[in-house]
Amino acid sequence: MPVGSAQPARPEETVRRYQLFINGKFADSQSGKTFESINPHDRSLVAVVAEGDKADINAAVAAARAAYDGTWSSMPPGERAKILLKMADLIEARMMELGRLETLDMGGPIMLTSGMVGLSAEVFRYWAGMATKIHGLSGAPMRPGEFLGYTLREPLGVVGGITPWNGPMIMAAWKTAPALACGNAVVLKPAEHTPMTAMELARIAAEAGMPDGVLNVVPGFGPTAGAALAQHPGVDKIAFTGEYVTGRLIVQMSTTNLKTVTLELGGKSPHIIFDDVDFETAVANALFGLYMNSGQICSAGTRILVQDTLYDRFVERFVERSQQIKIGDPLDFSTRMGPLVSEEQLRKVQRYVEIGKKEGAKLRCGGAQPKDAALSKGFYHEPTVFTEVDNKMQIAQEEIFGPVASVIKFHDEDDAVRIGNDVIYGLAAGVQTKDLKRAHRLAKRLQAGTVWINTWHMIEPNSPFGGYKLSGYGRENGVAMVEHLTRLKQVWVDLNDFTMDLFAV
Amino acid sequence: MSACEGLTPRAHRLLDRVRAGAEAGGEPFAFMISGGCCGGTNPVLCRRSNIIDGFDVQIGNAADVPVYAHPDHAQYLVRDRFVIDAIDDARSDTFSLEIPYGGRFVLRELRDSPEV
Repeated sequence: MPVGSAQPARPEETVRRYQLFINGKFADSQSGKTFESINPHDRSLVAVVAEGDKADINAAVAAARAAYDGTWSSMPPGERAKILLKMADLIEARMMELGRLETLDMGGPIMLTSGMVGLSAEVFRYWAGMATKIHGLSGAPMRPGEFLGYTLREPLGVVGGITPWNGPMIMAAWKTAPALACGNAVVLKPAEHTPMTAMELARIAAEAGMPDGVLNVVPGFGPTAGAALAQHPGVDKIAFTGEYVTGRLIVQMSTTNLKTVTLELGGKSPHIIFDDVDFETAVANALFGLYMNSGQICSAGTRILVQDTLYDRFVERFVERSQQIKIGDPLDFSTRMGPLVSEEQLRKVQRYVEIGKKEGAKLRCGGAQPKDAALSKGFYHEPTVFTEVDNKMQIAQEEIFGPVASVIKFHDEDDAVRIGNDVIYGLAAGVQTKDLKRAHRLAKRLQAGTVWINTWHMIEPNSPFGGYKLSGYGRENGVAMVEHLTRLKQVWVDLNDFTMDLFAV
Repeated sequence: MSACEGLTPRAHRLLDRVRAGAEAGGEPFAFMISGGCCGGTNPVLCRRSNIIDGFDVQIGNAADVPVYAHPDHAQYLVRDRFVIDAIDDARSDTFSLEIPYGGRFVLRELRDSPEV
C-alpha cells in the first residue's frame, strides 16, 4: 500500500499531527509539505508530520546560533543541569505514553520501547550531572613561576544530530542531552519513519524551561533536511547514526566548514559461544542478543559463532527457542517480537533469506512471514535461523537488520578470533565462557567498540559506544563524549616582571 | 564482474523524475550500494562526484548510471546478481537523492525482478 492511502485502524486512535519545533515554537514547514508515519503492525496512519527542508534547517540553525550566543553558552552549568533534570523527570513521567508512540511508529514491542524511554530519562539525568563537571586543566608549566598555562573547555556551538528509526527516543537522547549539557545548541533531524517521540521531546524541552532556540527539532528527508544540516557552515558538528554511504556523504559535506563528525554505522557482531558455558544461559543470551527489536539493532549478535563441540546441541535448542518466540501486536505487553519497521525492511530480509538459501546455508526455521491472519497486514517476519553458515557468505558478511541468525562453527580460540574479526564492521562482539582468562584475552583481541562477556546489549549512559572499521568513528555516551562536543582553548599568561623585547634597537 | 544488471521500469521512471527535478542540476549520478544499520543494503543515489575514483569499485550499471560499492563490500556483492527496483514508500534514513520524488530505490534479486 503506498504511503498516503493509509487510514487509522483502531477507532480509539486519532491521527496525530506534528509541526516543526524551531526557536521554541511549533510551526508548519515553509514549503507546507508533510509526510506520514505508518503503523508497521497494520499499515494504518498514525501521524502526519511537517516535512522540513533546507529553508527550515536554515531557520533552525539561525535560531540555535542565536540561542547559543545569547543565553545557553553563558548560562551557569548548574542552571543547564536543572533543565536537563527536569526533562529527565518529564520523560520518565510519560514513559508508557512515549513507549506507546514509539511502538506505533516503529513496531518494537512496548516492553522494549517503554524500557528504552526509561533509559532515555537516565541519559538526560547522567548528562545533567556532567554539565557541572566540564572544565579545562591548569597545565604543569615547563618554566614554573614564569608562565601560567591553562585550558578552557568550551562548547562547539551548534551541533546537528541525525538519528535512525530503530531506537527513536534513546537515539534522540544520545544526540541531544550530551550536546546540551556541554553548552551547545542543537538541531535534531529525526528519522522519517519515527518522528513522534523526537517531537514529544521538543514539547518536553519547552515544558522544562529550555530557552527558545536551544533545542530545535526538524523532521524531514535525508537528501533535503539532512544534507542541508550536514552542509551548513553554521553547524559545528554532526553526530550521525545510520548506514555507511550516508555516513561518508556526511563526511564529504562536512568539508564546507570542516565541521567535526561522529558516525555510528552498521555492525555484524560475532557472538562467540564456547563449550564450557552454562548451556541454557548461553542460548538465552544468544536469543536476546539477536532478536531484540526483531534484530533491528546495529549491535545485534547476528553471527553466532559456536564451538564445534557444542554446535549441534546448541543449534537444536536455539532453533527450538526461536520457534517459540511470541510474535504479535507490539502494543501487547506479552509480545516479544513485533513487525519490522517498513515494507522496505521486510523486503530486505526476504532478499537475504533467498541469498542464504542460494549460498548453501541450511534454513532451520523461519524464513517467511507468520501465517497468523491477524498479522497479515503488518511487516512481520518469523525468527529465522541459518546453520552451516560459512563466514564468507553474504548472510555472514552483510548486515541484514532483521531477525536472521547466521550460526557459524569454530574450533578453538584463535579460530573464533579470526572469524569474529573477518568482517567489514566492528561495532560489538560478545564472548560466552566460564574461563575468565580466555574471556579477557578475547576482549582484547576482538576488533569491536564494545565487547560483552556473558551478556549482551548492556549500554549505559556512562559507557562509550561506537565502532571500529566501517562501523564508524567517535564515541557516544560516557566522559569520552565530552571530547567530541567541546573544544580546548589554551591560555597563556606571562608572570615575568620584565619585558622580553626581542626587537629592541 | 557485474552484480547490478539494470533498473526495473518502475525504478527507471523514478530516476526520470529525479532527473527532471530542479535539484538535479545536470550533474551525472551514480549509485553506491550501502551497508549496515537502518538504511543499509540499499542503493544510494548520489552525484558521480561523491564516488572516490581509484578506490570505490564499479559493480555494474543501472541504465546509464554506474553502480559502485566500497571495495571490501564489493567482494561480497559481486557474487550476487540484482537489479535496482523502486518502492512507493519514500521514507528512508539515507541521503539518497530520489527520496523527495516520492519513491525509494531498493535492491531486488534478478530472478524476482518484476516487469512493472
